[in-house]
Amino acid sequence: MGRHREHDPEIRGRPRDGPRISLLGGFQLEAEGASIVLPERSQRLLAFLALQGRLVRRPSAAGTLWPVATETRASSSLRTALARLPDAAGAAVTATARELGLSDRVSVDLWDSRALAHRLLAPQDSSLPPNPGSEEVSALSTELLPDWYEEWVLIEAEDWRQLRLHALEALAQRLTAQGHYGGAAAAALAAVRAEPLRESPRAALIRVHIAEGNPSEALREFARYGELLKLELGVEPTERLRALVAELGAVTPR
Amino acid sequence: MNERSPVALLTIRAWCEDGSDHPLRAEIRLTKDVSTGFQHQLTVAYPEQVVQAVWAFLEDVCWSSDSMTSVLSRERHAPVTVLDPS
Repeated sequence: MGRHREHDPEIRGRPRDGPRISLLGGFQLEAEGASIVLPERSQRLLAFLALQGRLVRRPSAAGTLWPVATETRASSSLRTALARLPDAAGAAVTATARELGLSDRVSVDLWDSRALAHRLLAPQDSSLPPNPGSEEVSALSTELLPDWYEEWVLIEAEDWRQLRLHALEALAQRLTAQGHYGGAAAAALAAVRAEPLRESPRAALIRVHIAEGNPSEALREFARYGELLKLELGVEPTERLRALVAELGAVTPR
Repeated sequence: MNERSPVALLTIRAWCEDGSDHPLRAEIRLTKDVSTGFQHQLTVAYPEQVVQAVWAFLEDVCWSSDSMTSVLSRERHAPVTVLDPS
């Protein structure tokens, strides 16, 4: 996260009135209140710079974005991509003869969501709103650039996926402790949807039901998960999960 | 690399469910042409299933190449060497 912290708006105090790049759910660029349509080459360039979160040397950018081209061709493609950026998109990029990156006026939705996730995972973060809820769940529920398959995107997408899953589980736990069971269930369900076969989101959801005083819902969720595991993988829930519902009476620990 | 030949891609997301009798979870996504996106996805819990999926993927990608097919055939029957970290 070190390379991204410098772009945390809370640290840099970035203005929110500059161009805004969205990477979650798909690529979008907004400037001066309007959505800017960009050709694919420009989208890839801006997305790459947004994911780097720092100034990048031109050869590195060119080699990553045009991996099968020669160094000369890739550098030429980068120069062309920069020259052909529409005015509003060009204002989002700062470039020298050696490096390029996003300008200080640019904000990126991924940066904001990452910062939120890290605040949720910090044990005693006091910067969260007193009642985090649907807005926070929404910010953590979207994949990074779905349907983009370049290696430099896939790795970042996986990193974001894991971060947001842990953050959703932490949010569910926090809201459960506060007695906000509706929000807690929403956060846990978002994590379940993202990783239906992973056990920890299911455990979080079951804990919400137990805390709310709905043992039947907890047992139903356990049964659903058990059936899914059996069907998809031919395995059973862990002893840890079984123990979570054992006290509800219908499940005997092995 | 031939710029025109499609590039196949296989990713394996793996994690462990501690406490399970079979703790491995591996989500496998694959495509024969990365420009069209992932075409198949499956999740498995046994290492041999992961190995089978990788072999099937490689054979599917390279079946039309005689040299590659012979490499895969030879390697499949080679003993597996576990590197000693010491």
